[in-house]
Amino acid sequence: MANVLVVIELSGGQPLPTSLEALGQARRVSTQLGATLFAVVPLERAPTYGEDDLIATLAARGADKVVLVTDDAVGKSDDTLRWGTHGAALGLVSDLLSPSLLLFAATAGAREVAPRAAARMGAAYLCEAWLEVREERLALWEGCGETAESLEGDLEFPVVATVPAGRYTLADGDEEAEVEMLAVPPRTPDFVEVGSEPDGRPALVIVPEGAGALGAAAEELAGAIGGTLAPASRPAVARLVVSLGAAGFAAGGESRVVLGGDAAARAQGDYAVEGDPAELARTLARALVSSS
Amino acid sequence: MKPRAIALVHREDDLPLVRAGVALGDTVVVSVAPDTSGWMERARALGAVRSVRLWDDALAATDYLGIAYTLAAAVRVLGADGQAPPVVLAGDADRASVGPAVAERLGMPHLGNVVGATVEDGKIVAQRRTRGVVRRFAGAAPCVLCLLTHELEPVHVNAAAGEEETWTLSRIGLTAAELSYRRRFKPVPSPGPPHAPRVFDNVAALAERLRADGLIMTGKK
Repeated sequence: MANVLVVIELSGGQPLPTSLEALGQARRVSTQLGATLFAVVPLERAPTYGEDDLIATLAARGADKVVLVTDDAVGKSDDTLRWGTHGAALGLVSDLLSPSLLLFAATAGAREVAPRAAARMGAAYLCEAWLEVREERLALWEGCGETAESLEGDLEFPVVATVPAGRYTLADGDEEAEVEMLAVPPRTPDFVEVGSEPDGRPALVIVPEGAGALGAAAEELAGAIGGTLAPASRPAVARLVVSLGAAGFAAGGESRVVLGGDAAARAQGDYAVEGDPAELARTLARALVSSS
Repeated sequence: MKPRAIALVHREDDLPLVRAGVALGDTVVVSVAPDTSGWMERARALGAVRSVRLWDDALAATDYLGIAYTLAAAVRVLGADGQAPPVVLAGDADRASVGPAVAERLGMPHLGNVVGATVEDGKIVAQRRTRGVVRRFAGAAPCVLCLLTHELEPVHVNAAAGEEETWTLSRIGLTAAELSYRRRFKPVPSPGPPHAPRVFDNVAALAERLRADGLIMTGKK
């Protein structure tokens, strides 16, 4: 394995936590397999003097090399990855560096660009993958537990994968990393933004059946996150689902949080906090309101 | 020239793609499946003007890119009649890998996370949802739109009569051998690590992470 690339997605100029987690696991895998780890950052423009915290952060979190790819089109994006704005940068680095492994944080933007980057490379593609080293070889799965699927064999082909939030932890790297700058030539945009409106999907606060005592705390939390209450049995799709200890809830969302509940209940979430559900809900609500 | 749509329907849950296509123009439904279990009849009831089922046993073992090669070839055949360039509609649920791969194979612009599309002043205008905002993007056909089918209104319609065309790989200029090499790129069942959530020590840390992920839009009732 030669080159491992991690695409760093930014929000407000800062790397997403999930991107840094993907970089962390890539650091651990690269160290064991002797690969060079690149953090690839599509940017509208290069950081100026005093704005180089980004490079320092990526070095501190494990990158051997940081590749900044500047592209005017990136400035026209809404901060999320989109093929029309970020695809050219991704194509440029994959052509130059021929990665064995190309990783993205599993965000909505990555769902759009990662499969196309994989198709462009003729690579295998794994969604929300596990990447581990087993018996000195890279092991990759999609899915969890008994229903997981893996790529078999010596992996003599490139793999593109997304890594979900919270699966891996950050890594520690050196204080410095080599920096390379690339630039994408200007081009005509494919799609042009012509308007926007707030996301109409609510967040959902899931209350276990018969748990009347949680009602007031649940309502307080729903108010704080701009959400509504829902019973555990209701199928729904929401921006964010927060379950107050309910097991087996049917709602899905970009992220699922479980406050309290037993281990089985918490296992349904992407994020969890142990404790009393009502107390956790009230504390979270007040923390959000006080900081808004 | 009035746009037209090609809806790539792989299962019944993708039927909202047909309704989205009909809103844009004449819609052809293409399905890569050994059988369609009646959903093609429902696609015609939604207004599809033509329905094509394409299958070869080689497709059962190929990966997302082999499927994309196949669908792209079918789109080229359907688009060779000199009519308006198509808007190709694909589902964006589950792995969401085929639509972007089809776009790459066809060399078309594509947009994901789409929750709706219309024609306005001759342009294709798509609503794309990310990070708590729905943004409208205008572009031109040909293009690929990947729709969040699980967020669209479910389809409740009875089957309609009509003819379903059955194609094989030869109809679209491919052979099983051309797809067979992709077999090794496809993951196979193999027990993996169990899912475990990221456990935070306290809600303050959780709140910070949810904000950093762009998932919190605080509001006070």
